[in-house]
Amino acid sequence: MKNVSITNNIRKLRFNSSEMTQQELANKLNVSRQTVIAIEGGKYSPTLELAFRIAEVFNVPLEEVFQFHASS
Amino acid sequence: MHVNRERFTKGNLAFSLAFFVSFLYEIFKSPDFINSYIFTLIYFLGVLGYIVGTVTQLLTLHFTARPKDINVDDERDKFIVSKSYRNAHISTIVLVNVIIICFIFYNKTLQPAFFFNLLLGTLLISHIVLVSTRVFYYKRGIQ
Repeated sequence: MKNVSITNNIRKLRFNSSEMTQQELANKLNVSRQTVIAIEGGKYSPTLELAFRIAEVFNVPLEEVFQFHASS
Repeated sequence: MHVNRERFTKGNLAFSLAFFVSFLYEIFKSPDFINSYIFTLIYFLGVLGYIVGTVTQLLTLHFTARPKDINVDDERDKFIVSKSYRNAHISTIVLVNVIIICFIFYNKTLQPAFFFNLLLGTLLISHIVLVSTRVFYYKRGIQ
């Protein structure tokens, strides 16, 4: 069985975007700050729609925000 | 404005556990307590209070928050709610089946009030499962 993990660069992207706070990102995405914290910490995998919206906020491709790792 | 669903859920869990403990206390204190209808009244007042509290919370949000700022549940909240409802549903089915089996085998020896107590207990346990799994998913995370 394959172990699947999804990592993200949201924290790095936030700091590169003039040190955007989690609350500011949450407001732009129309989700709670707790959800942003959970996504950043890898405790919640967002839906495809939210993932694309996050990429849109930072104006980068989706692969730059999320990375998919599969290992057997 | 965003409702802190996690904090609200923890409060709900504390209230439910306190209610369940009082339920067990009353049941074991006096087996005939249920016949006095007092506990039934308290139980349904508790349920009514929960419904009124939820509606009041939503109405308060509706009238105080600006429409574009209302964000009661985001997708993570909805996902957690759906998973916890599934857990509560499973526990309800299991417990109701246990009650049915008890009723089949012991309907001659046990009083109807006993089965009524079991049914009330089942609903309370299901609610506790619902809220505690929600707290668990908020803490541990959900994939």
